[in-house]
Amino acid sequence: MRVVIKPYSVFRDKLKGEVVLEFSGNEILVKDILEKLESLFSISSTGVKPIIIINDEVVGEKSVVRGEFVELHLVPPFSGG
Amino acid sequence: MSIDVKILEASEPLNFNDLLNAVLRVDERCGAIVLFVGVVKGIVEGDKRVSGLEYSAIKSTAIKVMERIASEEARKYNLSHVTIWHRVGALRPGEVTIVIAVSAENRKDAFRAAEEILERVKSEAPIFKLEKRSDGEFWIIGDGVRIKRTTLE
Repeated sequence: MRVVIKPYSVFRDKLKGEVVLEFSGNEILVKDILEKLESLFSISSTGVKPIIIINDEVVGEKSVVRGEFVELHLVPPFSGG
Repeated sequence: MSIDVKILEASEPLNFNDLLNAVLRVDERCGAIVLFVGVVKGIVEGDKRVSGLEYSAIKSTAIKVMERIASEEARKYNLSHVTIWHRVGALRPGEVTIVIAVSAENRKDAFRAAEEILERVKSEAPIFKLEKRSDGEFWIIGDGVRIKRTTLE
């Protein structure tokens, strides 16, 4: 499966823009995606807890992502206003 | 009950006369209108001069979240109208970042609702800001934690 990561704020600096990850199969845990991002980009070095948004919803690490193509947003805690 | 939720680009003008006229026309049972306007601060953390804030957002998600907040708060406080406008893009000190307007039968509900809506938008809508100031650029994380941009490289 192909997972497109769209980063915002500190994570945009860390990833340097949109990233595409390939995984075998059509199903993966959010936790596994975060681990892959950690191994590639050391996102924990920002000191910021990552939040994942898929289809307008915040999803937890134990959530399962399904499909051949998935787009997700990698964001920090929100700071509008 | 009516709801007006928008994400506006920094270049788009804000018309407060139209906003107030719309809110005033909504429901003649209303006795209170509260209007909150957030603006970019020019000085933060004592003496640090801010040249601007740069807002970004997951727009479609942010609009859905703000619509949900507006509906829930309208039911909770029996509001006749809720406006939530949030701006994105580059804003300078003194420029408007967010507008919240509510109309209610009484002032207590209107004040409480406006404050709750603001706090919920800040913590629930996927909107992010970068603070540009005299001593560098800082990502604002959550409610006020600042991370200097250069330390991430």
